[in-house]
Amino acid sequence: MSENSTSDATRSAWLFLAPALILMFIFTVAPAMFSLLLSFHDFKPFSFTLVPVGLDQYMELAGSEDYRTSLMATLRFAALVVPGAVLGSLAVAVLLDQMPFFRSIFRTIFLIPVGISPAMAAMLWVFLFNPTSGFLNYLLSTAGIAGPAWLSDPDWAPFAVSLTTVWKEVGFNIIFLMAALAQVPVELQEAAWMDGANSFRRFWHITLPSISPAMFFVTVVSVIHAFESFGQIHILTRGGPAGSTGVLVYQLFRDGFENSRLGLAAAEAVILFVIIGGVTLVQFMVARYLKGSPQ
Amino acid sequence: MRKGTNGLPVFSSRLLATCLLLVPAVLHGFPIFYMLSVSFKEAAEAYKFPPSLLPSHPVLTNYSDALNAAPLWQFMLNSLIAALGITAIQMLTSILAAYALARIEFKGRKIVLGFVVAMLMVPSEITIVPNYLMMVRTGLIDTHLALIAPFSASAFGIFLLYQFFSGVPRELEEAAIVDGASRMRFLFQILVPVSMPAIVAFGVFAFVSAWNQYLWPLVVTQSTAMRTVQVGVGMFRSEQEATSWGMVMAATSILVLPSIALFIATQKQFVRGLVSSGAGVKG
Repeated sequence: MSENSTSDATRSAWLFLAPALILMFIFTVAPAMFSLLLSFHDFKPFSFTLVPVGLDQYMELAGSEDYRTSLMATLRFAALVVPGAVLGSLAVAVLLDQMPFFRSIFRTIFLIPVGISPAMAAMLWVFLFNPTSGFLNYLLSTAGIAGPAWLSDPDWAPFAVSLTTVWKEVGFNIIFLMAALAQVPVELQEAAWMDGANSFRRFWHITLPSISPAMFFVTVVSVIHAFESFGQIHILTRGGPAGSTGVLVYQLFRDGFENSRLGLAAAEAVILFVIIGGVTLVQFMVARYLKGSPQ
Repeated sequence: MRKGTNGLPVFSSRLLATCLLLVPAVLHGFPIFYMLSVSFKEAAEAYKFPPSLLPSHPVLTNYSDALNAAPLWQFMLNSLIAALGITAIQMLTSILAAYALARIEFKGRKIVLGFVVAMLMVPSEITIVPNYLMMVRTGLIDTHLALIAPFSASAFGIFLLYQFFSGVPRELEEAAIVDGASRMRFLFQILVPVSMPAIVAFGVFAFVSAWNQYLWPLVVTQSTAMRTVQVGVGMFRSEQEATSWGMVMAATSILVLPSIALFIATQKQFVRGLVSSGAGVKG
């Protein structure tokens, strides 16, 4: 900027940045710090006062049966959703990539759930899960299987919620995997084909390594989405039955906004922040590493 | 050598791909198809077992019942106000901030950029309790402003537009600023128009994300008249489940079809916004 003095440029830069930075401070930075503060206090909703309790709320969570159940429900949910969403999207993306005709129609069918909310996805599925007149159990009955009470059986509710989530999530991953597949060098594919490599070997030795950064990215994003899931669970099962789908965000919602224990909810938010922030940070660092290393 | 069979394996593998995808695609589209089908079924037929794929006597009563059961248009209006408000404010604040980061050399630029990237990693759950208390304290609870305010700045938008602005040739700027045009005029008369694809992509993404929010609107709205589409549809799940599936599916259809139509219409922009962010920020 030869025509501007440095201080002039600096001043106008901060003026342009001010609205975003001030709003971020008010609604993100300050609240995040306040959550940390709140987690060491008992919040009295009627008087709007804070009573210092030190680490009590963290200790309470550490010893709480409910919280442990919630953590287990979250891990199980993630263990069901992530492989389904990643491998399912990989299979669909690879096949879509091969399709000469109707590709955009097929692609749209898989992408539509990305545009609708988790709550709407749940509304679409809730009747399909109905044990007596739902379509899912009808399909199973044609195969001679007596379908379970999907949403009221603690053994099956996690599967029902996960199925709905995978249905909604695969499209998101397909977007990134198809973009990555389009970048796979054609020369490499052709060379391998000339060498007589079959399609499985070409996929394993050429396609998969080329899209591994994207695979890594969608895996991590699927983990983060699983840890932040709420809407579909609130609609489908309300965290039940017997806490089998009461994931961490659901527990936070219940403690803070149904039981009015906002201090405890803040402690749960801090724990969630550490988990998700940690996952994101690892992902960020690995992505940098993958970007820097030659393929 | 397999050179001679050039055409055949390619063709057959493509045909195979189409066939292999047919069943998953049909299954994937089924929930939406079935929602529509049930929404036209008479009450008795909706419960019938085995269920029918299509209504034998299509009726429209479910739709009028749904519209009488809850203020669906009001839900849509609330969602529209919130989503448009969030999109407009995010676009404005992001454009201004991204311009400073991409186009002005100033002390602290790297630090601000690092701060924006750090903000990308903050999960919204950490802010929800304090923001809720802020809304209670300021008396904004159960208002449209409460739905909008916490999302008025977007680290995602700043970063996305920063990347795009950085790629626009410098010569454009030189010409504009030498003859004394202000930065603001350069930004809105030259940089913004040439960056429209990126800005529209971000706008679509911001709108869809805002429209689909659930936890915050659930917490911050209290009266039925302030409920958004996503929270409002849940009322049908909790209260009307036993009465009529046809009506529940009619309500869901009314509330979800605009999203589906919008998504199909703006799919390209949505995908572009997502992919350019992922490629730049995260992979």
